[in-house]
Amino acid sequence: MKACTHLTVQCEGSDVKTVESLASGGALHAIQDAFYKEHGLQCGFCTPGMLMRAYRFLQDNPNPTAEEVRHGMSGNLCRCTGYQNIVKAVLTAAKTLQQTAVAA
Amino acid sequence: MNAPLSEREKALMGMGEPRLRKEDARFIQGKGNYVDDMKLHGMLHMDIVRAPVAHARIKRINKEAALKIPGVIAVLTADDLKPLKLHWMPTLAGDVQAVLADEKVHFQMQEVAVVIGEDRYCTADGVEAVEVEYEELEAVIDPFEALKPGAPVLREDLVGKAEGAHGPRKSPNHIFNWQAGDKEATDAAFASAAVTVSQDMHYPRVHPCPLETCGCVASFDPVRGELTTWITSQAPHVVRTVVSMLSGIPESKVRIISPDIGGGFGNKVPIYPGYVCAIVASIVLGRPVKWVEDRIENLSSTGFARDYHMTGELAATADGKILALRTHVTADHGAFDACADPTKFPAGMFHICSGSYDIAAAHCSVDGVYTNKAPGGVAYRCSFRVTEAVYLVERMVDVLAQKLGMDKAEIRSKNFIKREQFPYKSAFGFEYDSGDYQTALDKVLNAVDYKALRAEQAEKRADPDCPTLMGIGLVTFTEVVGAGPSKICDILGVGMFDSCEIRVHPTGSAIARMGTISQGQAHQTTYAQIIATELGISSEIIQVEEGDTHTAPYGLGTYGSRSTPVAGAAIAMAARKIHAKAKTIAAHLMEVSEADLEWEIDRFKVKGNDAKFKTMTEIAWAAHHQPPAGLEPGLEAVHYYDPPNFTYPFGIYLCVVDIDKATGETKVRRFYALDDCGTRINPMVIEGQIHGGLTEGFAVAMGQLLSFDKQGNIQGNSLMDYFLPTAVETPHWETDYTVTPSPHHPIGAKGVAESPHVGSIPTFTSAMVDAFAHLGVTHFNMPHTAYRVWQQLKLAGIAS
Repeated sequence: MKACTHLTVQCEGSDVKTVESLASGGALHAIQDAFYKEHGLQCGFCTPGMLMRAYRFLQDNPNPTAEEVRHGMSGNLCRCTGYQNIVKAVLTAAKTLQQTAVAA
Repeated sequence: MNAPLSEREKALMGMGEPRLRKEDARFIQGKGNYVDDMKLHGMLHMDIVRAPVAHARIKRINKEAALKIPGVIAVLTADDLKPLKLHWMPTLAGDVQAVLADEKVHFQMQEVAVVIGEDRYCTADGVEAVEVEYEELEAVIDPFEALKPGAPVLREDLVGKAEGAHGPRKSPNHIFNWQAGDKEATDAAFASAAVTVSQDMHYPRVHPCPLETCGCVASFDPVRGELTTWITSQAPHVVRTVVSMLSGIPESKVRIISPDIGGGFGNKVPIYPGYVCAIVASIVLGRPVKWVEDRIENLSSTGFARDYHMTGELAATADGKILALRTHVTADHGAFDACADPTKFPAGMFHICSGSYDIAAAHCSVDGVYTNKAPGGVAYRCSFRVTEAVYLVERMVDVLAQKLGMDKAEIRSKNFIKREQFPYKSAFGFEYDSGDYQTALDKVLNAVDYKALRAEQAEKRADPDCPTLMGIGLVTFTEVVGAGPSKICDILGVGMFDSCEIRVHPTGSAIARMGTISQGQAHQTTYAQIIATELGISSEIIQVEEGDTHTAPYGLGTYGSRSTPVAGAAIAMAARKIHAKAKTIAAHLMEVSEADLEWEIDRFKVKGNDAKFKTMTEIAWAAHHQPPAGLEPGLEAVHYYDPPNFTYPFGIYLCVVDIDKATGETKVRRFYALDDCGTRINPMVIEGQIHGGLTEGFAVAMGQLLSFDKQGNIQGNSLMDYFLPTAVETPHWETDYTVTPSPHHPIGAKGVAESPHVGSIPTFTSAMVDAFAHLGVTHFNMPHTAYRVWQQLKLAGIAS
């Protein structure tokens, strides 16, 4: 959800998550770790948005293709990475999250 | 302690390692610190009243209504800045620029007044409430019209000044004429050549549009008389020097901090009126003042890129050997010449336009022109007009190839500067350090199976039912970066050296500071890698700091791919000073002579005796514990590096496009980018930046444009229209490399990552035009939007 297109009141009753909520107990979320390992960021300005969008996208589509990832992330702009490593990061996170889900 | 060599080398995570980035931890956890994150106690907000018209006299400004709004503290105009002599300021190009419009407006969206208030909301209301009466004047938009006799005069402040900063001015709207090369020899070569070709082309006005817009938080402490400013600047030390000069506050009491920056791309090099006004407001009001522009302001008023109208000519033999290159440029600079170029080069490094080719004679002439548009011209990963130069020469080589019916790879091979010819002095006087173009070209052509692609293209051309036109673009470019030797390169008189200071701690870790500033280029990682290899300390425990002028040694900042060539050299040289001292200490500790020692990855060991060694960690302790007699305690060094030459990275890019004959829509089927930046510090970091630069190039070539109507209204200055590719439009990039080190650089590195922007843009045009080449089309201008391509299809009789 984009902060610039929603009034705060519209979120009443919802659970709002921002990037600060991803890591837990000192451990990075799989998505954060994937962006780190796949070099999915450079200046970092788009990163919180990319991470939160990826988080939501993978909830809806836990096993996406690369093309689905590109479409799913198309609402977030980046000027530094050219998106290629971001796509890799989301695919890597998807795999990790699925393995964790299977293990659990 | 005695692990195998390869393990010890890996543990350093030094040069050449694709190690993960040290900066990431804060960015992936929302702990980045950008200018707009700064919140200071008592901080005020500033917003700007901007001109709605391109050319006008200001008759009246009425602040009354604005000042009545609760929370609005002050409204400043040029008249308020006059007593401080700050209503105009010097530009980086030897011109002056209005800080706030002084009786006259020169471009739409120009800064006319600033409103300062307690919060963002009342300040915005204040901006709406300021009443300005304008008397519109005829706007001058076309640079060719601007040079004609009788054109409206833009710069009334320059009337009567026949001499500009770069020599004589031919007319009221003319800024300079700059030339390089040998006109006589070039004209003679053209007069006698068997074959000549000529092509007009326009490199249109675009804008870097980083994700983070420009802004600052200025905070003057009236008790201490000290000014601190957090600012989106790619050159914080230069800002400090200029701010000191303008304000009269000594540099030692001015602190400029560039924190995390959300993309620069040259947009954050100039000093903008917003910064000056925020600083003045803070000094006058004694409270911190924050100014952050919005997207439309960023696109409309900050440093644009390009807008070069070029005519290129080549003279050649009948079998395709280029004898001479000649070019003229009409350069649209906007209303003030604020081009961010080194002082002596009003057209930047445009004279690298003889490219990768061995051309005996060449000449270029550039005329700068004033128009009613925002100032700028040098930005957007251009390496100081190298984008324009490479575009020109690569288009011309294609045009010549087409005229002679030669293959576009074959004509390039024929004209390449050969490996044995380096160091090579070009017809424009550049001394290229090293290169091996043919090896790189062979690698690319093999990787894509070029012959098969040309065969496929021929088949498709012969098939009337084929729904697409297939184009193959090829660019073999050489850049000039790493500005630069102080005897020829200066910014406002300050030589373009750079610096590094390294301090090693008693327990073996280190802090290093440089005069550059990363905006995403991973300096905190790559710089640490250089030091790790030089000193045998793991890059994990080397902390790199940049951007705070109170602590960092003086440097000229990060742009023009200069960080690795200049600061990277300073880093190696500073580290080597420490390395030499460490050797002395090691010899003392082991009671041998220095001649008995050899360096191995992370330790000095006695030759022939693996068991007798001292690691850098042990030496660091000794330096603080009991240094040898005659040696100062501590282990640190500073180096200021004045480069002996520029560096010359190069690349070979190949692109395959398929254009829909009915709609003009283009699919980029393949893009293969080979870069040679000399020694590669971190392959992962390089590849990431190449992806980013190629994506910017794709955007420029295929869709970006800032245009103006006849009245000077800027069009396309929001993200509704300005093409920023998403993950969907962006092609998949294939990257490759060769390594041809720079012989004059301490670690052989040349700098990288403007190359993908510089090189990809002409590659796209080359591919698009190649798709039409069999129909006799030699060129059409960017951007290659579907609509514009469809118009070409109509012209060629393909689309209806």
